[in-house]
Amino acid sequence: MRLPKPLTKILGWLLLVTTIGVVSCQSLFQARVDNAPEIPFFSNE
Amino acid sequence: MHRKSPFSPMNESRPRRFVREPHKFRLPEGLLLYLLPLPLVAGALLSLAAGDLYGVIVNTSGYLLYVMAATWMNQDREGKRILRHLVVKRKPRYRTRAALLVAFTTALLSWLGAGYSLWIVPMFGLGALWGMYLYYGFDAQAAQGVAAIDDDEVARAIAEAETILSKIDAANRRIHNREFNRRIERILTIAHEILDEIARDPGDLRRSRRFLKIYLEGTRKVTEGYASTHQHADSPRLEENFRRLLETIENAFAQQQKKLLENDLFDLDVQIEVLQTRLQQEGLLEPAVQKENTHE
Repeated sequence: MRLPKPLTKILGWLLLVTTIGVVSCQSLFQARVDNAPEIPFFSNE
Repeated sequence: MHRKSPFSPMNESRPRRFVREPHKFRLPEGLLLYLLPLPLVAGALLSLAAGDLYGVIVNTSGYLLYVMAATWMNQDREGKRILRHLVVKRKPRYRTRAALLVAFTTALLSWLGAGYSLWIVPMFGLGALWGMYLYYGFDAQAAQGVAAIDDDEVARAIAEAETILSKIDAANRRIHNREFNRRIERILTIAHEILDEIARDPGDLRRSRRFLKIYLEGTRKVTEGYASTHQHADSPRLEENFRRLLETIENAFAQQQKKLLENDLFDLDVQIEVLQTRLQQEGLLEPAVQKENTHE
């Protein structure tokens, strides 16, 4: 049985947003955490 | 003497001819792949500001790889557009390649950029691959359990359908009745959209063969028949019959399009039978076509 095309598209969209979106945001977060002391804006000093 | 039909006002404005719009503005196919990884650009800038070369390389490479996949997706659609309008035999195959690149990039980034542990990295890769398959599809739609339809077959079927559509369009120009002109234009528009759908998803060709054979051929015969007959003798009964046939055809076309979009196989045959019966009643279906259909 094949799913209707709109439903397939929505499922695909959700998977892409979850995987690529999470990985990209997490990479940004990681870059922020790793470099926080070096960047005056993020530094607590 | 030629009698004037109530539906053929000679002095009113000429019927608008069906003109296919060659280009409609459409968003890039790979738009999602440009937008979703945008945080990587911010990450790269942040790393640059901090002088973190590793972060710059990882984030920039990640974004560039996604952009490359998005470009492939755009090229793939361009290839399909060419297939649809010029009917070339070969189209580039980029979808699967783009999906694999996205899966690889996502897995790599989840490890090197986001810092996830190695056991979860394949999950991200597989998730992205599955997402690409569902959202964009792979090159070979045949992977869904039916035998492959090669490009030549799709191109040939579309070319034949295009020829029939242009004949219907030519016959429509010979009909001087605005109501009928509009109805036929609507039918042509839906038919072109159905062909677009088949070009997008060649798997649909298998389910549309009877449609292409019966509906389009039937419509051509009906339209050409009316176009040549009504010039010699206009009769209200002829017009009424033609009107009813056009209504049936238009409904059948709309149903066909809806079912194609829903991937619903079951009701198509019922609709085809309805139109087939109507065409037989009107004596517009040749025995060869009927016979061919009973064997399918």
